[in-house]
Amino acid sequence: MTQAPEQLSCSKCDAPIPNVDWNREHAFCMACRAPVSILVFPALYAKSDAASAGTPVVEAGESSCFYHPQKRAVVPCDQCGRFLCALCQVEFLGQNWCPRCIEAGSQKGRLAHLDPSRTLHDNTALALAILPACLLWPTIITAPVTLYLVIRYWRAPSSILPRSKIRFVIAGMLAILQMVAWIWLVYFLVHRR
Amino acid sequence: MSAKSDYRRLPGRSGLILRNSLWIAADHVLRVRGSPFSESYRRYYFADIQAIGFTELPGAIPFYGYTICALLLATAAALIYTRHPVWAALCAIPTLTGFYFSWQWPTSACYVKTSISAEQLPSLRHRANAEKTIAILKAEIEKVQGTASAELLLSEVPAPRATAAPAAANPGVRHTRGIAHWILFADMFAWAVVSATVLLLRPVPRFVTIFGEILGIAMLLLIIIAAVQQRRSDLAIAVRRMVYGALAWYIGSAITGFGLGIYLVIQLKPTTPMLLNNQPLMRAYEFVNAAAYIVLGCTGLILLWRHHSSLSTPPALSPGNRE
Repeated sequence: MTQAPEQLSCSKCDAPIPNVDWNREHAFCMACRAPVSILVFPALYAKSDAASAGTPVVEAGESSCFYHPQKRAVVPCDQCGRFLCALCQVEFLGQNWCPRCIEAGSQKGRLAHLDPSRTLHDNTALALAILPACLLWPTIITAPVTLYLVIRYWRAPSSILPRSKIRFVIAGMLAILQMVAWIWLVYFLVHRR
Repeated sequence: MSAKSDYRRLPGRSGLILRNSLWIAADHVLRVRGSPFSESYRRYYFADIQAIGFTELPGAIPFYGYTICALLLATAAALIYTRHPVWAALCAIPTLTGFYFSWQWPTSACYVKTSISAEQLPSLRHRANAEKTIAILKAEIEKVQGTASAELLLSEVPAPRATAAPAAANPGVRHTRGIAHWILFADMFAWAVVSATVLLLRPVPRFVTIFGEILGIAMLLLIIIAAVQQRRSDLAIAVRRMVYGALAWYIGSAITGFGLGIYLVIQLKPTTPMLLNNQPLMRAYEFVNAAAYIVLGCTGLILLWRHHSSLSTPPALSPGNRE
C-alpha cells in the first residue's frame, strides 16, 4: 500500500486515505472510521509539460513576437492580429489570444468565463424599492435612485447564471408608483390650501 | 432568461444570507457563492479535476435538535391551551430556529481537487444531494478524461512540478489583531458587572443606569463590527463562534426581555417601572442575563488570549545577534 506524494484526505479528520481505498464504493477513514468515498481521475497521474519560453529569431526575415521582438512568432492573436511567441500565446475558448486582449476583455466585462464575481444590480434596485417603503418617508429619495439604477444597469452584465429581468421590472414599477404617490401628495397638499 | 447562459443547477444548496450552489456547464462546474447583492464564482474544468472526496458526517446532532424542537413545540401548544400566548410565541421562536438549524446541519462534506488546490464544496452538505451531484460530475469528468484503471490507481502519482513562487497556505485569509474583539468581550464583562450591581443594589444613581445602557448599545455595535472584521481572518474559530454566540444571545435575551416586560405589564399593570423591575420573574431574567454575559465575556477574553499566545513567534535574527 503506497502513500502518494499528493495526499487525498478525509474531510472530517484530514487523515490521508491510502490509494487502495480510492474509487471504492464502501471505504472508511482509518483514523475516524467515517464512511468516505474518494473518486480519482486520470488527471491526477498526468505529467504536465513544461511551458515553452519561445524560440529566438534566427533568420532576418522571420516574424517576431509583438511583445518579445527577440522571439519567433508562432501564431497571430485571433482578436487583435498581433504576432505572438510561444510564451505569449494563450489558448482560450478555442482561439489564440494575447495577454492584453484577455486583460482588456476581462476589464470590460466581455469575457464571462474570466469573471470571478458579478454585482447583482437588480437585487440592489429591488431592495432599494422595497425596504425604504417600510418607513414611507425615505422613498422620496430612494424612488428616483431606484429608477436611475434600473435604467443605468438594465443592459449591464448581470449574473452569469440563468436570470430574468423581473426584478428590474418590479423595482421600476414600484419606484414609479412611489414617485407618482409623492407627486400626488404634494399636489394634494398644495391645492388643499 | 439570459440568452447566453448555459448553466444547469446541480442538487444541493446551503446558507441563508450567503448562499452556496453548484452549476454545471458543458466543460466545467461552477461554484457560486452569492450574497444578496453580488455573486462570486469559481470554475473547475472537467479536464483539470483530479479527485473528488466525499465524507459522511455523523448525524446525531440533527436527531437531538429535532427532538428538542418537538418538545418545545409541545410546550408552545400547551401554553396556548393554558392561554399564555406571549410565552407560547417566545417558545415558538427557538423552536423554529432549532428546526432550521437541525435541517441545515451538515451530514456530509465534499471537496474537489485540482493540481493547484483542494477546495470544499459547501453546497454539498447533505448526503442525498451530494451523492446525486457527485454521480453527475463523475459521468461528465469521465467523458473528458476517461476512467482510471486499477493499475493506474496503484501506480505512483507524479510529484507536482516546482513553481517559481510557492502558493500561500491561505491566500484569502488576512491577519487581524482582534482589537474589536478585545473591546467587545471586555464590554460584555463590564456590562454584566454593572447589571449585577444594579440588580443587587437597586435603587442606584441614575448615571449608573445610563452607563449600563451605553455599554449595552456599544455591545451590539461591537458585536457587529467584530463579526464583520473576523470574516476571512486568521482568528481562532472558537473566538469567532463566541462572537456569533454572543450575537445570538443578545438578540434572544432582548426578545425575551421585551416579551417578559409586556407579559408583566399586561398581568400586573404596574404603576411605576420600579414595580416592574422588582418582580421576581424580571429579577431572575436579569440575573440569568448578567451571568451569561459574565461567562461570555470571560470565555471570550480567555480564548482570545490563548489565540494570541499561540500566534507569538520567536524574534527574527538580525545581523548583530546571529551568534
